[in-house]
Amino acid sequence: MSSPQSGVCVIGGGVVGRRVIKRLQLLGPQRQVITIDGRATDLAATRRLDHIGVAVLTQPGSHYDTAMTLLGRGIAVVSIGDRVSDVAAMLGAREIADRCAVPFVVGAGMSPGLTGLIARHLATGLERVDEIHIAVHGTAGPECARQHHRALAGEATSVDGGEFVTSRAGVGRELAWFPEPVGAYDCYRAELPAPLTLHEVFPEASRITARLSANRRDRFTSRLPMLTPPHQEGGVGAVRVEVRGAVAGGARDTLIAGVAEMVGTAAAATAAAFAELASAGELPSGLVVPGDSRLDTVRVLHQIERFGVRLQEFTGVPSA
Amino acid sequence: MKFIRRLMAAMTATLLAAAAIRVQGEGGTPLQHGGWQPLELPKQ
Repeated sequence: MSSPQSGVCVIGGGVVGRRVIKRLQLLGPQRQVITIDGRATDLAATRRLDHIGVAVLTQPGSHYDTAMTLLGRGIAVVSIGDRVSDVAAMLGAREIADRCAVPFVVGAGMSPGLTGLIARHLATGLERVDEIHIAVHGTAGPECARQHHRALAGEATSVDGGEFVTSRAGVGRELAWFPEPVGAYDCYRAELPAPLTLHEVFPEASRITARLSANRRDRFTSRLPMLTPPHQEGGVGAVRVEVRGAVAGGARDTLIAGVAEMVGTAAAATAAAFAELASAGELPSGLVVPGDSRLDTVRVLHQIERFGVRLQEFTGVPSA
Repeated sequence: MKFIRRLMAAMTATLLAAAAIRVQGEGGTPLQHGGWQPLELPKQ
């Protein structure tokens, strides 16, 4: 069970994992932050987790099994997993999470994660939310780049008429304006888990889509193995969240906000913010999805800004 | 030989057509009507 200011364990030592550790250590030298290689450690039995209250999962691959093991030990879990099947499995573990009586945060990276928080914040300006559209640009480390590559060749999930629909990834071009300095990029439907998590917290939204920026080469080679090894870290990435709905008077309105930041930094700041709140006992127990109305979203966003991520909003006419 | 000549001619014609479309096409990124500014969160 997580107790106030309990220790935090970070599993996975990639770009995001290293940055989560740095950000948590910024909060004070007295904070116990350890890192564990999940592949080389028996997480069900290791004594290194005896005084740990929160685990942040940043390792590549599936997070479901690791999360179940840690929840079984009464450790709160913050997962940045972004594989659609993995996120769907974790969202399906609501009863298990409720039984364990600790927070289980699913999708605590940049997208899903920060996008859900921004959507919830924008939704406070509307009386009713009808549509949410997410666009993502950039990648963090090599595993994230591989995931980006796979996402353009898979099956894109979206919500239409309140129901999940799937379509071919890599199609459905739409020009998305990201916050400066990223600017405009063509974005395409992709195998992204954001519609799953957003539908969980905005069941009233009849349309939810998620698109990924891609150039011609990305789309042309998406069904082939990666031709060149991915970069250690991509450049400045961005995320754009567009929420459409009705205001109090009934008029329709569109609100847009986003972030332009290194993807690894934005994901780490989001995961670290959730870990910090879980460690302080400020998250509800059971399944927690970013954008959850039970969350103090403004508090989480403030914490993310403290970790160095600048939120931006679009003011003007929302279509090009 | 005849096949190679035809192939070269077809490729040249394709390249010329692509170049013409590229040069003449309006393309580019449309203007954005608005701008981005820091998001002010409510004070805690």
